[in-house]
Amino acid sequence: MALAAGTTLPTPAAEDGAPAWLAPESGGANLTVGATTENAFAQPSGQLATADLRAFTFGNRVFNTNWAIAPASVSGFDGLGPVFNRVSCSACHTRDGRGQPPRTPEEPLESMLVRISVPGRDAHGGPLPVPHYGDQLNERAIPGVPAEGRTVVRYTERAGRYPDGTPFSLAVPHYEFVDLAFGAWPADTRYSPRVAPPVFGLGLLETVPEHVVLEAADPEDADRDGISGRPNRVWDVESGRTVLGRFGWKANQPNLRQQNAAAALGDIGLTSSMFPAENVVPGQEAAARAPSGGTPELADAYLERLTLYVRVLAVPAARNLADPAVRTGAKMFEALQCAACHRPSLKTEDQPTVPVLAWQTIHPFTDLLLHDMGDELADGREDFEASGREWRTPPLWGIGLTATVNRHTRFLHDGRARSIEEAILWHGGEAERARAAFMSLPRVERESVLAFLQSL
Amino acid sequence: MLWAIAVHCHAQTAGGERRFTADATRQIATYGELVHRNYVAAYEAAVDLQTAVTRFVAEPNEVSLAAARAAWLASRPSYGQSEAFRFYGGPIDAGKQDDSLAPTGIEGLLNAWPLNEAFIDYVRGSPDAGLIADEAVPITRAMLVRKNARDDEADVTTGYHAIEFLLWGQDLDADGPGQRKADDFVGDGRAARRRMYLTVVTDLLVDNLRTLVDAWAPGQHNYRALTTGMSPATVVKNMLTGIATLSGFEMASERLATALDSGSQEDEQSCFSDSTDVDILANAIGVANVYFGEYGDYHGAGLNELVAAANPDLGRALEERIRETVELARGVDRPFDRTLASPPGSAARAKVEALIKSLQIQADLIKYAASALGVPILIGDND
Repeated sequence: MALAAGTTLPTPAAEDGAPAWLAPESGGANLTVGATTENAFAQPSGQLATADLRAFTFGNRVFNTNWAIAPASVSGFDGLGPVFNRVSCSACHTRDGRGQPPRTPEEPLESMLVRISVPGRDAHGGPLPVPHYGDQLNERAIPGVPAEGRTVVRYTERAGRYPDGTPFSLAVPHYEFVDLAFGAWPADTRYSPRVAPPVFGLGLLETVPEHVVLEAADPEDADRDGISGRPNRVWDVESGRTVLGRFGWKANQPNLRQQNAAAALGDIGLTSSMFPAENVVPGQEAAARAPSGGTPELADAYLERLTLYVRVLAVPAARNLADPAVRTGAKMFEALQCAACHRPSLKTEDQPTVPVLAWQTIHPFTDLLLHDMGDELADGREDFEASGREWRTPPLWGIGLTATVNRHTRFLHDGRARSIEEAILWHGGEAERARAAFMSLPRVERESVLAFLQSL
Repeated sequence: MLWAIAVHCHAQTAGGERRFTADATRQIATYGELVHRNYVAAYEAAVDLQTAVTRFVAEPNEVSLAAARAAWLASRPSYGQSEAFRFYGGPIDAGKQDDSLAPTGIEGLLNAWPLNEAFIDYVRGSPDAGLIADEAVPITRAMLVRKNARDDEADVTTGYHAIEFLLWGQDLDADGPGQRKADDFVGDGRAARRRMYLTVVTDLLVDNLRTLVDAWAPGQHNYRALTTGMSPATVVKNMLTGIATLSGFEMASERLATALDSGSQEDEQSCFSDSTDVDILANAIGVANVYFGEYGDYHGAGLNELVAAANPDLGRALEERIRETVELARGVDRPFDRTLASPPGSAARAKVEALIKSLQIQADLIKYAASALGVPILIGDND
């Protein structure tokens, strides 16, 4: 990473040397909320205008809608499939939070999906779909249409030890794809399992100006700190241009409207004005015959309110900031170079259509850049400029409330980590040094790092 | 939201704005009393429902089913009024973080909706849907609580609306409620599981309401006792946050505007029994109860006195607005789903739009009142 002098480098603020960014307002003045209940990720900004609150609430309704098979009596909310992963946004992003892998090999994927592709790039630089299957395994389908297949996840334990002798064990995932409806995949097929990420605070990340993201990029690691950081450059459907990617585990979506429309199509099977063609891959004959739920199925007015909803979902405040362990942990977070990629502070600029997002100082703990995370986390699947070893730094805000909201603590892109600690232990590549430094800490300091992360 | 309120409040006082100086002793005592009376009424109505359900499952026929339905309908107005006590982390919203047995908290077990009825029992086109058809799942309280809204918020397994669905079935009739037959409960197999399900969720409803009665009973070591030890500013702020959020967020946006904007019966709270209009009116009355310090024939000291003392014009405007909202709520057509199905610009829709507008103004006036008293609030879905 590289930052111009004086941009966001840490300045100790408190007498105990805790970083200046250690503050409760994770989502800035307008988008931070104090809720710590299971609805902590589901709160609107408290500063919304009345008309926006009505649109937000309707967007919440669209987010929670269980889409029906067309034609249905519920007109306006039909058009599910023909193939799909889940029937609603909220089914994967439960209470606007984080998905997880299945609890047993027999259970279906409920809040996780598998992206697939073959080597090469499409006309816009994106991944090449697998013949007969497309770019995502749709594990469910409406009656009369075959589901594309099913993912089975199994884990083996791998034991390890901290330098101080403390043992740990990591769950190594193994994937198998069964009941493939259109025959075996080509031998060079790449697959990338991904859990649903939390969806709050995203409007703020969308409003961080490109130059703020790029100021931390250091694609050739010119400063030789072992950390590069590369922007993804992805296809923007509406403008017809290649632009900075921001959203998704590989930053392969440029903005929330496109992210939402793409997920509606890829995950639920809903067409929109942005993606008017059904998610039917050539060769899937039964799917091609399925009735449509309208042109488009996800009306523009619904997509617009869904996007406003995601834009103004607020961020839970950081907690327990007076706790000495939390304060020490925040210092360690910087000292270990975690903060090199998980940037503690970003600033938004102007946002004329949703003014509550403008000019906010936020603490998302992401740089929105791609980093090589090493062999063990590599999915081997390229996505625009992202290599098969690179992942976008995920935000950490709200991470300490995952158990409260989603009743699990599964982390990383495929949910393999069973705790925040395991997630740290999986870090490799550019984060190898930070992980090794974390492991070398005395136990009490490791626990303070975890206490800090729990406070977010 | 609570944190944001606290900071906002601090900033106001630091900036030389109004501090909370009113003597709210009588209002706080009144609030404890009216909340308790309201929950007692809700509990007693739920016990009546339990009695009717017990009779119905012992001898399921159309007469005992009608009696159970009547008891369910009679249980709704008191509970609906009590929703004015939500949204500030009080007993109704407690228990969401630490209780792994009931992670949705009491409110999520009592009145969660929208409810994906196919998660519970059969629906048109899916005769084998739901937990009742799934023989592998035992119908027990622990199981239903554990499954409530676990993987999807709409997978509601418990509460008033689960009972409502079991008593009425899907509402497939444009003019009337659901038409489930008592025969669904006669015999072995799924009928037996359905009887068990209805019994378990009704018993749970009664027990949860009992917990709320106990939390507000006088002379006990309970939440009500705690409120006398809290700073009066905090209690008054909680009272105002509850009614402002119920008015501006829960009612105006979630329950009314969203339903109008979608036109879908799914957005109707009590869709199986076609009694959503009762819920709407009860919520509006619940706000008035808190503001005027009353419940039924009990009349204590209301917040209206404090607001009138701080700002007489604002006090008058808010009193009139709350009374106007109750009248507008009384005018909502029954059944509500017919309003939703009516075309844009219909007279039925115009009535609901007028109610929404009134609720929004009411929420804004409550915010102004809170600021006038020196306890500024924010409105949000803080449950």
